[in-house]
Amino acid sequence: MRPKKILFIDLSKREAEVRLLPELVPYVGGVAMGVKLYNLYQDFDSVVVSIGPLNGYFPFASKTSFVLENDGMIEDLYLGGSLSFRLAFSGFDGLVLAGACDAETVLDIVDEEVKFLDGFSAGADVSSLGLPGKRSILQMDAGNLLLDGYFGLKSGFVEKKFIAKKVLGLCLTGTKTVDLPDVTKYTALFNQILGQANTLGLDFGGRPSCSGCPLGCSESRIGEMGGNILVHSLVACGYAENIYSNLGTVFACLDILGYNYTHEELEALPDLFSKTIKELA
Amino acid sequence: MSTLKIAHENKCIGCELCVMGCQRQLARAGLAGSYIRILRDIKEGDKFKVSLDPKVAELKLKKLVEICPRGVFEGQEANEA
Repeated sequence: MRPKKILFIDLSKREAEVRLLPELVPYVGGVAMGVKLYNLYQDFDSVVVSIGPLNGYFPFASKTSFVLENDGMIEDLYLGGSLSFRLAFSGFDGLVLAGACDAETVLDIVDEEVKFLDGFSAGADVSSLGLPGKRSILQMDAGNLLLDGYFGLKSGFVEKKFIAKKVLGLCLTGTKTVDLPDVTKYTALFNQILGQANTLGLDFGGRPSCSGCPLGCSESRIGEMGGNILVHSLVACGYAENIYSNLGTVFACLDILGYNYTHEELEALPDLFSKTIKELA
Repeated sequence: MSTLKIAHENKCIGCELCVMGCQRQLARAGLAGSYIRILRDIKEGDKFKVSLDPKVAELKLKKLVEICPRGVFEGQEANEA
């Protein structure tokens, strides 16, 4: 399998580097990969932003994982909205925000290119950044961090880190496309999963929705914390746990995208996660 | 002639299932080059603009109409006229 591709952003040095990490493959993605990345880069007080292999491709695989340290505890949080699709189609499995900026900075990321922009104030208009339709904007405004002006995380942990790192915002644009090798099979599986929308136990709310989810529920606005390790390594919606904790479904999705994880590897994921957390303690 | 019309833009919730459906018909995944784009208003996070490329008429429009959970689109394919 291809190595995990990470964008390591050193805020202190105002440098960014693409890192290919084959040793992260067993961690699949999301929270399991996030804690391992945090472990690798903990000296930088990193905020690790990551997705799983199904984000951008299948319904309800719609969240973005954040792993960070808060008051001595490793926390995992899941943001709704459009960011996971943009990260997937920038070609990365994760971003590491390492260190801290000297002055308040906005990051403008288009695929592998990172610009460190000065001269913005909190809540400033950043709508000129990125490419419309292919971007997500995560921005501090009045002490709150909001994605695309709507989606947030209620804990305040990510906000604290962004303030400490002097990151006022982040615009991420993903411009890559991926050819689908077997569209017929992929479409059938996509529709089968989408057809299970009513099993999430949420109403069709008509509110802004996460990418790849038709529900527009009230829960997406405040994000999620903790939960099933496999589901959060795929960075699926927690309400879709019945779908994405089914190994048959997960294998079918991974197989069609060219990932050949074994049952043993997926079943070992919770232990791998626990082991990594213990190494951090 | 096949046509896809944005009938109820104000109903769009930004789920991008139409973008995925469009790209799927082109045998790819991603956001770039999609004949449908969803543009977010970051000042008003609950507002969306839907942008159509005329080339969308080359696709199976019924599928695009049907995948939208909010009934944003109306469409007619040539062979249905």
